[in-house]
Amino acid sequence: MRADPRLMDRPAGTPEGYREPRLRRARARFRTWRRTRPFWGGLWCLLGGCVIAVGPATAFRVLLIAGSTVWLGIAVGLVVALMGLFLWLTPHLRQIAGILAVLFSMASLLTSDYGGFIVGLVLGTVGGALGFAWTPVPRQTG
Amino acid sequence: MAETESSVPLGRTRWRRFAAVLAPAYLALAALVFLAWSGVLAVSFAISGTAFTVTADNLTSTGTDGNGLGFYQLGVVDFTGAGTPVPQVESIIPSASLTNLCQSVSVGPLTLRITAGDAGTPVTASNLVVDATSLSAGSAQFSNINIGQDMGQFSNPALTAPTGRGSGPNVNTGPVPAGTFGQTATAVTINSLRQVANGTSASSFTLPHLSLGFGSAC
Repeated sequence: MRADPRLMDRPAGTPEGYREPRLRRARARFRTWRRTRPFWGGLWCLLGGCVIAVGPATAFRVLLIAGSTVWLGIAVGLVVALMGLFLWLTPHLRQIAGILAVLFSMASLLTSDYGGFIVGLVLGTVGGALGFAWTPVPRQTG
Repeated sequence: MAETESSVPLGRTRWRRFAAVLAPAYLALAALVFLAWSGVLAVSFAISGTAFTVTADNLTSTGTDGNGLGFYQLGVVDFTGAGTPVPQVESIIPSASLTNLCQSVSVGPLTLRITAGDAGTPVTASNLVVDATSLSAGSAQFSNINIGQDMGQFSNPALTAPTGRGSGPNVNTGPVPAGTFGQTATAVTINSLRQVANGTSASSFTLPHLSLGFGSAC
């Protein structure tokens, strides 16, 4: 797979078929992947979702009580993390995923130990807002 | 593959949209926190476990249930995790208002202290059930009290008696058997209440000016 020509200038006279060192190619691919989607939004949502889910998950002895609300606390955190994954893998759905991440992070205030002691709540809302606000910039041709 | 890659556009964050999403979210959040703090939102919880101390300057029943009663009190035998029966005095108040509620429990070497309901906004609870081993009050006033009532004749969802050690953290409960001794009143006012409780539950508990921290026992 050729390295992205937009990101790596080749000096004149480089023979066709020359391939950059593997590490540099891998980093260039990652950089492309990162810039073509709301990467940081997805990352904060993933982290925030995990922080939100961790609080209720420590009450594992309470989990098996019928009608316990611990499952709801974990589920809200998992939804926020799932929205982060959506931001990464399906950036065309970023608006819905971003808004849902913000809404569920706010709900975690009541369902999951005050939103993972506020940390998970802040990460999830910021990540969702970043995801919503990301816009593709049309490429200049030529 | 490279062609597909280069046709996916790069992007940037539009900060105005970012603020447009975040600002209403945090405003709504601040409103939520304010509502919970001022007691409009009710938080329901159930506490059970080791003994904890509950004190209040004043406990008043503020309503009655379907039986026209504001206060039930009966003896029950609750079960610990190991199945040991522990006698308790169970008080059921369908609608309660507590002023200057203080609750403390030892957590290891420290004491966790929760206070609420001061400065003119009392704590309100519905279907408050307290299992206590001792209760003392500065003064207690009952309206239309009946002592020696058969508690088995009432129907109230909160009025149940433990029947045996259940599985996991549960204790099996059933209806109060007929002939169980207890007392009822249509209204109760208790001043300078002090209880050593083993369990408290409420279908809803509203705690204005809630303050939680480590400190001295109540």
